[in-house]
Amino acid sequence: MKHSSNTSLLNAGLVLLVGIVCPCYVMGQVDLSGDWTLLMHEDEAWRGPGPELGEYEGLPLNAAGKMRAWSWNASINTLPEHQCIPLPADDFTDFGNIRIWKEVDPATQRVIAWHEYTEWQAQERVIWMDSRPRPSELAAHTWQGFSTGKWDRNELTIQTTHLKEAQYERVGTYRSDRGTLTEHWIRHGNYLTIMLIISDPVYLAKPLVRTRQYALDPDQTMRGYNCVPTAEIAGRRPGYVPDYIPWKNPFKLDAVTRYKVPEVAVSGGPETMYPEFVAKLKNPNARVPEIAETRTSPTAAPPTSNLNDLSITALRVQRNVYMLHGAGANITVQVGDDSVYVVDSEFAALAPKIVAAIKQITNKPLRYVINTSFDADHTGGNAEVAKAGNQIEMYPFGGETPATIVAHENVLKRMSAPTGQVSPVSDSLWPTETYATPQMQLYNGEGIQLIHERAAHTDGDTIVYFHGSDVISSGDIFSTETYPVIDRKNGGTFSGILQSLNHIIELSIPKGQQEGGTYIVPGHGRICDQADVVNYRDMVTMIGHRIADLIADGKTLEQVVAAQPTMDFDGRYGAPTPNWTKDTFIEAVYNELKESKK
Amino acid sequence: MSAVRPSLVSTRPTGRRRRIGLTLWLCLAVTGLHAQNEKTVPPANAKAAAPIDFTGQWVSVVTEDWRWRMVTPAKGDFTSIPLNQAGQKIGDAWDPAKDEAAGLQCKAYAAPNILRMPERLRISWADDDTLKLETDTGMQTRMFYFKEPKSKGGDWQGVSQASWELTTGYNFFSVMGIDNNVQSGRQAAGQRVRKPTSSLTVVTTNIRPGYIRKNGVPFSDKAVLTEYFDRTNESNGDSWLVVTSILDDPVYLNQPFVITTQFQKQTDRSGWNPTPCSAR
Repeated sequence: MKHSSNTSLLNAGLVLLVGIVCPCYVMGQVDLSGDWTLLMHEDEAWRGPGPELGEYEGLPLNAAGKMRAWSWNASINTLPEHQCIPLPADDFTDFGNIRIWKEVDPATQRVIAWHEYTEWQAQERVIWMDSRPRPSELAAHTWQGFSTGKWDRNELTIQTTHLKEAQYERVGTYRSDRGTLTEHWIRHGNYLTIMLIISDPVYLAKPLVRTRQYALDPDQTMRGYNCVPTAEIAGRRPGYVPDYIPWKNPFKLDAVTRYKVPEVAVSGGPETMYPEFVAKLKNPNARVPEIAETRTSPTAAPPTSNLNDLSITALRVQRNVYMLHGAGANITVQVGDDSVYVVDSEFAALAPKIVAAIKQITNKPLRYVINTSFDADHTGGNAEVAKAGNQIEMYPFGGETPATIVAHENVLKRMSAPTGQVSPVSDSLWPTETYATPQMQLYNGEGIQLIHERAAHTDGDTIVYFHGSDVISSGDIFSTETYPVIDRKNGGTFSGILQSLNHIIELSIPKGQQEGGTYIVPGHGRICDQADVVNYRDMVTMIGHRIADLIADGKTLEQVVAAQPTMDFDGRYGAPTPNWTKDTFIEAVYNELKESKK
Repeated sequence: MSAVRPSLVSTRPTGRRRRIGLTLWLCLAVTGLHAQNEKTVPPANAKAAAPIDFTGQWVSVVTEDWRWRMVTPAKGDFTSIPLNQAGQKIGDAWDPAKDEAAGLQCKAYAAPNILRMPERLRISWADDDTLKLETDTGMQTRMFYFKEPKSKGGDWQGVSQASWELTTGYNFFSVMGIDNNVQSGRQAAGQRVRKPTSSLTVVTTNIRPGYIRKNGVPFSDKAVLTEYFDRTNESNGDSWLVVTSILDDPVYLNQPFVITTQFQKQTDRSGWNPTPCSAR
């Protein structure tokens, strides 16, 4: 025993010695651990009481960013679904003391991650230091995003992606969910400087760069934070979203009268950040150099012509539910105790890949294919996918049958035709079982609720709620890629879209701080939670208000389109698809609102 | 005649000892190589020792305190500054006309506030041990002395002592005498080996009393300004100069006034616009 322990001791010593004196050791890093108190010696008026409404000087907002900000109404914070939104990663430095600690690998003692906790609104960030890969672009976004860190001498450089859309100031200045954050954390003795660089192709013409300071304070006492949302203003109709018509915002110039902020500066823009702008402040007619704006065009929808080259991406959403992404609509896969159910089937050409992707998840038999609408990118693979599964043989009927295809009866109506007429699609794609009631239930190790959303995207929409897994598959009522597609020819309505979005919000519940909990698989785009649907609902509602305002002012459709009522969201949702553009969306909303006025 | 010292243990290496010996040999060989690589002559001067290059032209990007930097704030607006009552009293008595009449237009362009101006900076080496910082706004020049300062201060920019920030350099192996640097005689046991980080530290004293802000917020002749200069390099090619400044003033401040100001690196010398001090 003695011999053995001596050996171990010697070996441990050698390992330590090699670790200390060999040149291959990891370069030294600064210890950031400790409790840090926030110093408010910059922008105190912004970070405490907040800027004046309409005051954006020094912010590199582009035209969309300004329009979005002018739409913002502070009353939106009274909505229960907005009350518990915490400060996002790019705003945590604005208010509250923080604690930083490191997480180490117990075996190697290497730092795996830095953790940061902000007292105000109790947010915790994790900054991964172990070179782990970033999540898929289809993964859910969070308020704090996904952060990785790397030391450059005494600077910890942090890159954050997967952020939810959020405000970085409480005046409606938004960073979109396509935005990213770069930080440099630099410690000098008992002071910590955090530099933030916010980049956003949707709302910023240039990166917004800010710096904040902290002092080490081992004496501070951190406190928790408990947010319980309540209806602060009674009597509001469901789905109410307070906003301003951007071109009629009455507070645009408040800072001019109240704080003497020059009018040429108050609406911000990249030029207001640079020394040359001082000349403009002294003489509004002075010429200042133009600052090149970051031009962005919305992401185009993926082409569907090269389906052979396309691969299917599978992500676990939560518990028993997965999302498959290919060329068409998202597919939701639910793995029960004995079998598999899927929601939607994309295109026929992709069916073998879809079936293979399902088999990568489980070998259990496929029993049901649920269609959320009759669209080709939701139902095109019905026959092939159903054939890959089978339905249980039930007495007295013999013979194995493919998996059952379920949808609302209006889906069958749209896909089929009266006897003697040619149906728009092959009968092999038709639902084999339909429901005409407001909802239908299925069971596969958990309760599965099929809810008919009347007259939303079409008149046959179904949202599928997996109760045990707490996941909702929304179909095309909700997308993170485009404005809602309102198929008016097939019974879709703008009001129905809004009603359905509000219904999804009503059905879902966050885990805490307006995040997680119920997850939503959208018709197209990434995995979401309630906050993302709220964000989308707010956008659709606001556009409705603007178009209604233009109609009330007597504008024609052409004039409404020319007024660009969606301009602030076009960089995010304006990507044209073969059958849907921002202008067709405006037209659909205009026609419905115009008709409802009659 | 030779005496053979009795050995307490067998001198014949066992397999285990061979392994340990081999490990030690490898370790020492590697560290020896490392030591050889490190046998470099210490840098002769601050310029040669510079861990990072701050030289070039930089432009301020005013995204913070805009209302207090891009325009002259109103008298009595002390927002964000931990100003004590004595300081507030002086701030409330600010009279720019009086400053102009006295030829004191540059009071707000002194070291504690000069980097808060909307401006461009030019940083260059005045000599091998002195870094020079010039501003176009207010046309001020600051000299950061890494050796004995050639100025005694007493003007708006005071006297600035510069140093490259160093790591702590503690190493208990050095105290034990088993560190390679100690064994090779290049270092005394327990001597700290402090390596430069990428920061420049500048401590400025003996500054002529002036303003922290253009609207007459005062600092006294007892003020000590400590600044840390850092530089970042972004993946898109941008580079930022980040200056964290800590102003201690026992006369007019309730606590150190800590701010950070950022400047973007220019790839050219465009936009340089020398402008004299203005009291308003």
